[in-house]
Amino acid sequence: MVAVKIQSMFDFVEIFGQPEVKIDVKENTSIKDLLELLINQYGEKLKEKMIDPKTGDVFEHLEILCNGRNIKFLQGNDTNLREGDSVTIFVPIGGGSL
Amino acid sequence: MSYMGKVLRINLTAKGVKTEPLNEKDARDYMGGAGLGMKLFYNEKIKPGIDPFSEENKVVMATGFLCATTCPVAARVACITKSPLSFGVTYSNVGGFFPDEFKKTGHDAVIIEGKSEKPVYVYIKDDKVSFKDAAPIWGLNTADSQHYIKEILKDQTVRPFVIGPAGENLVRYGSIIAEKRASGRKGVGAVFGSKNLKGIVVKGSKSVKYADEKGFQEVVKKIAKAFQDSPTLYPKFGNFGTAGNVENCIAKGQMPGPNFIDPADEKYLSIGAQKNIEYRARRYACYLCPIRCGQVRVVKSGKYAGWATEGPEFETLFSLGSGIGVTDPCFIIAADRVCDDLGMDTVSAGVCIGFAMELYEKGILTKDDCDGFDLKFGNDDAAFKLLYKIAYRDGFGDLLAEGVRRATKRIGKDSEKYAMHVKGLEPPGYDPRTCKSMGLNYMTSYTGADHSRGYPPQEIFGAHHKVPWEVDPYSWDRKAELTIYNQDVGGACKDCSMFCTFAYRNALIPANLHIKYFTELWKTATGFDVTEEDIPKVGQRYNNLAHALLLKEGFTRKDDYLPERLMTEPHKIGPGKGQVMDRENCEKLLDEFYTLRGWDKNGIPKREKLVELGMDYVAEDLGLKETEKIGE
Repeated sequence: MVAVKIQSMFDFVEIFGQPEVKIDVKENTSIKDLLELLINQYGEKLKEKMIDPKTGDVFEHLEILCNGRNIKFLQGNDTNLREGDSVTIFVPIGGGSL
Repeated sequence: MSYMGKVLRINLTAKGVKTEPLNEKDARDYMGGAGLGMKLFYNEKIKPGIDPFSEENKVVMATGFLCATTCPVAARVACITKSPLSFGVTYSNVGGFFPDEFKKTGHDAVIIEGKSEKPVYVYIKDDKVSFKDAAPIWGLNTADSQHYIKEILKDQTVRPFVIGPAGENLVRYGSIIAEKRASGRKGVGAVFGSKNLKGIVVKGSKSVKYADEKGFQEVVKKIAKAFQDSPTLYPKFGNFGTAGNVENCIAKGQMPGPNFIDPADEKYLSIGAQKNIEYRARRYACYLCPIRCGQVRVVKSGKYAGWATEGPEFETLFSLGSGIGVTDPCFIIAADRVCDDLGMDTVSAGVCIGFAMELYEKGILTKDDCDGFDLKFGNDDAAFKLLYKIAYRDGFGDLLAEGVRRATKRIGKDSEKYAMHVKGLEPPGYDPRTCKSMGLNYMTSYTGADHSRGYPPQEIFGAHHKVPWEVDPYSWDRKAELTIYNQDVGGACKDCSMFCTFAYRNALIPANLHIKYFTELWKTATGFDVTEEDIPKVGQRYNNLAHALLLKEGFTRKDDYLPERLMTEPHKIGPGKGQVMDRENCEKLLDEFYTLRGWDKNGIPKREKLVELGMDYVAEDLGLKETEKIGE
């Protein structure tokens, strides 16, 4: 098993109960596996926030980072998790002052 | 059409006022706002080399074709002048309620020239312009100034736009404030101060006319629908405001830590949106804005108890937070209010203090140099007092009031190595080492290290930004092309239309509706026969015109580089560990950027490019020959 951190922001914090939760996953668990595992654990509320019912995939506007890097620029859903990895799930919002 | 068709000229020396017709070709070529303002500023033929604080400098304020219409989030005004920080042409803008009221006086723009012998403010009530004695309010902060102007004019409905003590004392990053909103950056308020101009006060009763009102309202409905369809605008952005970017940028290693040494780490989540919401008393909206992203925050306990502000926005959470090593959101709330009251840019003020803190920690500045302050990173007590010293140019504050670039000339001792600026402008809250297009934009924006021109949402808000294409922020790939896209298309859609950048980034560009809708708005509002191809062309003209003004001032390629730290010191921590904007790649990016812009390797536009944009007059002014004739 390997220990990974799930960091969440904004409305995801309510679902996870706290901004950071630690979770043990099997070796060679991918991001895709992790998301399935999280949905199983946290149920419909998380699924509603995360999965686009039209496509069955993760919402386009959702940011999933592994150690600060968007998984799109790693191996996407196939990115494998290693001991100590940090996965961040949130919808990016904001802007700069003018 | 939705332009008022008139430009007001105010001469502060002679106390003269003239009304001039808006040149329709200028409006067609430059749309409005920063573009039109830039063209009006260019037309003035201000002599290169003048001191920005001299009587010869001018300020142009220009609205867009959307201002005072029913289109939401477009009531903004552009301020164009020669910056006392960069010594080149610059631009800053403000929302709130002043811009709409200004346009309703019946003017698209105002040109302010000369210098008043004594402090004045100018009251524009429709066609009537009067010069009012500002002696009774000179020295007052921006909140009190606005209050007493309304008292003196016996009219609570006027809209003032005023400077505070910082602008009066020629702090080079003095701002101009309307209600609590700031035309904050680049020293426009200091230029007002140099002219003994306390502010502009407006009251208007006129309304705009539309070329095709029914068609225009249909587009407005589509814009409102795009707002509703955005997955991020309601309620998330409205609820958390720009502070939400703290969490985002910390997660990606893009938010700078103390003086850009390293990125802000997780301890700075204490100044993010999720903490700041605990201090929120209410929300605020600019004129005709359904988003209401403004956050009024109040401190109710601790040493900053009693302070309240409209903000702080993300950039301030950086500059007076992570940028100076402070993790207490209450300090930033108080400091933001102090800066607004003093009329001082929070970004430059914070970066100047962060710079001084690093010099102190390195022993380049001593306690005696710093008026006895123990100026270590994180010393919020010292930073708080320094803000006042800067605004009043008192002691050590006088040095920091000059901005980091000029301060290094007085300090010497290799201090330039630690001075974060491009073209004299202190950078905002994005570390270019982990967002390369933002870095190239800092390098090439005519204003200097500026996030507001050419902001790459694709690098910062990643996930749902696929227009013009999906972008890895750490990659160098196609970053010159992306930067030009954001400078030109974003320039037209935001800077020239004066549409709110946050609504643009959250709702329009991710849905790829921006070019289509702005074309339709422009066409129906004005009757101009414009197509989608005109949008990037407006942006190209605007940026080339501003660039030409810099060239006339003597700017060269050597002004288009990042501070040494960002080119030589890779991130030592965080997700971007090892990332740097090294000089070799910066050179390549600049070459590519210049080529794509139609400029030569020294950044001089090719005559053909300017002619293609209908800017023959600029080619003539710059003395450019056709390419094949060069060398004859």
